[in-house]
Amino acid sequence: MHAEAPPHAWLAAGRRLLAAAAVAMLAFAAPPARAESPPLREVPVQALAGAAKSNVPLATSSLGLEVGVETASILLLALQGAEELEIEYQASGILLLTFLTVDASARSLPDHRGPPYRYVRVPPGRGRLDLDLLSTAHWSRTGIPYLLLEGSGRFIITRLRYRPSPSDRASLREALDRAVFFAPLPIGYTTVNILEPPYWSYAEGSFLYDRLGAAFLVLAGILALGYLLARRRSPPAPALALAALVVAAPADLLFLGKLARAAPLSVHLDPEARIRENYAYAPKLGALAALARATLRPDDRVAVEGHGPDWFAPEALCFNLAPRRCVTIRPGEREYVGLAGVDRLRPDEVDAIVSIDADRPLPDGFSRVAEVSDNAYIARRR
Amino acid sequence: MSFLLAVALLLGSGLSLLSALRLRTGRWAVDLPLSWFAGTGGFAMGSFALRFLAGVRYTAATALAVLALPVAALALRALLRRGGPAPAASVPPPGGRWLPRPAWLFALLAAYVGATTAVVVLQGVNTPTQTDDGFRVRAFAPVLAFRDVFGPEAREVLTMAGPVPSYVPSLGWRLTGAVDHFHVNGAILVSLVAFLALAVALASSRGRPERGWAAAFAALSLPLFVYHCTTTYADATLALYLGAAFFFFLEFGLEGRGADAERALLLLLAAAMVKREGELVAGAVGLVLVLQVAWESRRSDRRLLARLGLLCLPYLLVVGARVASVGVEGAFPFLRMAVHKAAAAPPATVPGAGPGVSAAAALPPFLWAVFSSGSAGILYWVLPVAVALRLREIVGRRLAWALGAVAVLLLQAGVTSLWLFPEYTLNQGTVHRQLIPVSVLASVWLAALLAGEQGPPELAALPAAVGPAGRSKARRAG
Repeated sequence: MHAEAPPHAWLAAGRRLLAAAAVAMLAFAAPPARAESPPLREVPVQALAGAAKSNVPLATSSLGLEVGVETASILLLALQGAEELEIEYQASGILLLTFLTVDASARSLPDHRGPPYRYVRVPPGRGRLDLDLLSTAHWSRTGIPYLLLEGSGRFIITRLRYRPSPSDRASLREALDRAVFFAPLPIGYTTVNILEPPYWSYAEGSFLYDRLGAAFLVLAGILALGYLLARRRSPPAPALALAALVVAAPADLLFLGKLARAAPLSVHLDPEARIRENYAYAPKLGALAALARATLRPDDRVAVEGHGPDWFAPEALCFNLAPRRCVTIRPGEREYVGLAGVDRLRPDEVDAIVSIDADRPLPDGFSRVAEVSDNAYIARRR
Repeated sequence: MSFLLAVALLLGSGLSLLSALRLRTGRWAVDLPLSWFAGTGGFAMGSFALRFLAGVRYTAATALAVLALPVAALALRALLRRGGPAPAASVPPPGGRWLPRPAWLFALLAAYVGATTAVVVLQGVNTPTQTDDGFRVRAFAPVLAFRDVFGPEAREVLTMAGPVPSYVPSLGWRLTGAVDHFHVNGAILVSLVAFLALAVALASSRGRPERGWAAAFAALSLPLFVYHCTTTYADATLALYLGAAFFFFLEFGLEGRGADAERALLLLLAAAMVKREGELVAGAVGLVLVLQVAWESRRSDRRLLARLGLLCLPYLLVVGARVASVGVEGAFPFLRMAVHKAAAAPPATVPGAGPGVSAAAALPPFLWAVFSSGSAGILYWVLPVAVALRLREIVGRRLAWALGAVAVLLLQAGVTSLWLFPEYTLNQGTVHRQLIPVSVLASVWLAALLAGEQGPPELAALPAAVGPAGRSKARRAG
């Protein structure tokens, strides 16, 4: 029946829980500790060009190493085993920097459009980026930093420092575990399906919630035994609640901290500003979507195109341009189709084109009316 | 501004609906969040049925008319009662207690709830739609509702999204003519705030604020659910509507007030209008609720059962509108899938899954999703232990029926993940999202079990007829 616990039930339960927790603590290792890291090392600007490979021409000047970005520029730095990069830069345009590590001997590059998503928007002007490579996918002592710059603009590395990984295995393991444990929640294309699984030890491949679950089982077991020996049937609800709370609360705080670090928490009252500024992993797209919304008339029939088979940009553009009728350009087809097949337009019905990183020139009869960059623009039928 | 106007209208309509059905609790703190879920459900049902059954265009005038329907019903009832005996005044139930004990502990929980809600609201309000399913279905359906031009593909999208996620965000656009895509985000966030407010206010109004704060904390300890509240997917919305209904389901079990069963069913009807899956999960919970009512009234008054039946009747409008929109086969896709699956198992074609995926192969990833992935925190570690150690209390406090509802949902998720779509479990595509509604209900239930023991002194002091010992009488009194 409805058992009413005396007012001191929570306190009594808390005392027993503390004793149980002390026993349980012996069964589990302490959380990832801070490892001693080697100091940062400078890479002379003149040596940068020799230490970098790219899919675009690199230029060196008195300022540093310059990378032009039209769609996507890759920079592979021959800094084997680097665990952290500190880049001082000068930038213009809209740029997103994705960073990971790849095996220097690998023949193909990893898919950066998969988890864990490690990226940072590069604010224009002068600035500094601290990139924690340990928390990226595929990090290894033999790996080298892989930087992917997407968007449109110019990026000059004016100073580069890196931290080599610790030489001893135990320190390296601790550093890796710590980096992954506290890394911000990575948000990307697949995060709605599955969050990055929280690791207890990335190096060992053990998961945080397996540890916490086991800790709860041990706590609950000790409590149950304790109450049984005290000739009571089972631990009261407050004792179990406190045990669950003790185990869950640190993980909750960790998750909240990771989420808050990944979240855009600035307040923009204007929804157009939110579209322009907050496409976290596609800033050029956000800027183009906002510009297109401001440029196009509500009754315009719009066609969008992106880079090759890219689905993300066309879908995002058509969505943001709704309720306008909007379709994706498929060259050679008699009819273009929009989101979920709802909108359909013949090529001659299109009033305006919104194009981002497209491989094709603008069709005849259209001319640019607004642009974010050379390859991100809005065109209207003449 | 148009969003705030829409929220105000939906709250007003919801309050009128609750009054017309005589389901207000008499406490504003409870009635306001409750009216969000009731009002949005009523508005979506009316708009959807009007459009696809009656063929009436969705305009500002029709939207306002649908919102005003409960007000008209309320006025009509008042008119019919004129001259008759005065209705009993709405008396708040006794036993309100608003400060949880021990205060220091629940202050910490409240701080976590407040901080998490703030982060979620800020991130949700700031983040534009940025996922495939959001672009094509979940956040696109309100745009289609606003446009009100329906080819077969648009009808299909609307059916997939469901009337609530389609019509609620579009109300502000319909009233002002301007489309602000962030209304989709806003509708989810208001649902989250209403859910949390309902958790705390309802439990407090029944003298057990600990249970309310614990429920809010437990739900916000589900990482994937928390993240989903910041997106424009509908899984969190479904979980929030189901969770709101489940609060009343639990209250009915604990205190036996018939009106709580009605409120639970009303909100379950709203939950059924979220996503295609809504009908399946809300139907399962509703069935357990009705079974509980039927079992407990087997030797007594069956009026409550009849009232629940009557409450369900308007939902036929939704089913009819859906059949009118996409045909019988399109209206019941899961039935169709199950029949096809039972007839012949086609090989899976999902990348990474390989052909002929079996349930046995999907079991380890399913268990990993439940226990290790962190999507549901430590919920599924605590739940079985709590059930095993508190079995007598579960039966004694009549929490078994609600636990049955959670078990049925978990079974449903298991069947879907292991038998219907094992390939999406193997590649971790949908299994985590599918568990969100189950996890929210399970966390609310767990909070009721573990933090609800400290009974309200007010109830204990009451005469046996309304105290725990006299539940059957109280139930009849509603």
